[in-house]
Amino acid sequence: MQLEIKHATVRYSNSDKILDNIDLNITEGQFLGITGKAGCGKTTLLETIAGFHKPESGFVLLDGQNIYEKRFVSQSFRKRLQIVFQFPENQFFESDIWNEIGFGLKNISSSPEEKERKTIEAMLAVGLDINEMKNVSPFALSGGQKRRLALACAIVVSPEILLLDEPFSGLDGDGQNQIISILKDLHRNGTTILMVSHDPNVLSEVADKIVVLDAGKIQFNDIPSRVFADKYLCDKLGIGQPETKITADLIGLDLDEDLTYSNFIKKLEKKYLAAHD
Amino acid sequence: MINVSNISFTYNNNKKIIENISLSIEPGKVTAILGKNGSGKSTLVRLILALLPISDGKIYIDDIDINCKEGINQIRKQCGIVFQNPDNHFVSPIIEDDIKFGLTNHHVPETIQSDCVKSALDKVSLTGYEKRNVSTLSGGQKQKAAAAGILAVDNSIIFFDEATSMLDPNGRKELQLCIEDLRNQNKTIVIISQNIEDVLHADKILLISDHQIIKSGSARDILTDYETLKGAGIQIPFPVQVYHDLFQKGIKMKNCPLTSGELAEELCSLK
Repeated sequence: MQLEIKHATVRYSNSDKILDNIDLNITEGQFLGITGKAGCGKTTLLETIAGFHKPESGFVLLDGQNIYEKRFVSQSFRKRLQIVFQFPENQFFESDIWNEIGFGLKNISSSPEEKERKTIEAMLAVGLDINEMKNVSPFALSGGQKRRLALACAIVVSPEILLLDEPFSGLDGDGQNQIISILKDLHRNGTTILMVSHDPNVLSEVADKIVVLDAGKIQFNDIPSRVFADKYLCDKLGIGQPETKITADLIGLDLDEDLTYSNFIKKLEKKYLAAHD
Repeated sequence: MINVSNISFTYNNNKKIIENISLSIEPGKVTAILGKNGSGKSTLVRLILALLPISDGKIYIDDIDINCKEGINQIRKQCGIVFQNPDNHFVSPIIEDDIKFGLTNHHVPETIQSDCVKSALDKVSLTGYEKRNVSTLSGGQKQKAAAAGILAVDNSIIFFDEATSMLDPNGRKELQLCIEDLRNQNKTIVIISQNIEDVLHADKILLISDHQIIKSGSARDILTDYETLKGAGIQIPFPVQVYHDLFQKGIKMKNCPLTSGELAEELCSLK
């Protein structure tokens, strides 16, 4: 799988450019974070890759094929790529959770047994209790539960490419940890993930690389430790810094380009236990 | 002052969402409500704002029962809410018209409405966005515009229901400053958020679990109580998690820190 965005410029009618000559290569199995201040074009970039906004110039190529070309076979594209929107309620239309998750499977002609098994697996994966929740209307869920359901609807068809727009917004601690662990598993199993997030802690925890957008242009496309290296620049770009990095800088701890929490604790342990020995 | 006395609530599926909750929201203070997804936080706020009928119990605003016309009028007059989903706010596609709708309802003279709109948009860093169509805004900008609509109106009690969930770190800080500003103006603030930074400066935190309030206290009391937060499924503040994890490894800080600065101080004093 090779996903390329070449010289893509996108604007909504009469608006300024939302994306301005974007070039981006996404390789198979990559976990790419996308961040930047509100209104910088993150959601538009994700939705352009998903086939919702045809660039006024430039291309989006999946395995060399322009996804906006009429000849492009859209059904297989939808099976290969799934998106979870920023407002999950925008993607629900079935009367209960069971059928909402099953809908995607119906569209790719799974057998009834396979459909049932996969729906159960997806509910379990995102922490929706089957007996308690299967008959509940998607619209009766709390904000955080809707996010879990939207993710279940996406992962149930085992997409090659998963696009996520702020999947953690409004999620409680348990929910966040659960979704992070699901995403890590999917990443480990080879799913290519593109995730828009404002949270520098989450991004530095899961992303291989982070794209920082500013006014529709890519300012950074690099590993987390380099993206979050300069506090002044991070503040200017409105992306903040992970708490591991902030604390490490305050106490002069070298994290060796790994800003994850487990590495931070390991480094602290080494430093303070060594001092006590 | 809002007093909630022994309220319970069930939706049509008979599942209890709120069970015998009592609380008071003190004037001029910032009260935060923490609880995991589906714990009933938003339902509780909707009950207080008389947007849902109470099954059992009573809610009073300034000693007036909200279950009557006078009580509902008081609620509508005094309270404003920034909802979780900003799309639920807008009644007009143009930002200026949308904010003016609220001002007109609060009898703000038309001659000063444009100034009120400008000042509210300045507060959330959307200066010059008066004529923008809401549909052209990003999620975070919509949240800011929705907050501006509430900040423009001179409510004495303001609820923020996950109002920063889509904001970037700078936008979050701006809204926190707005809340600080409102506190200085003696407004009553109620914050519902999963983000610890949003509730760090609250005067009081109410922790909800299993449809009931299980603990209330100062931000420090609640947010440094690792076991209770963990049990309630709440995100543990980063410094508290570090304190706990190092303790497990035999490294003991003197005090449990709550901010990055405090954490750095505690770590440095370990040397």
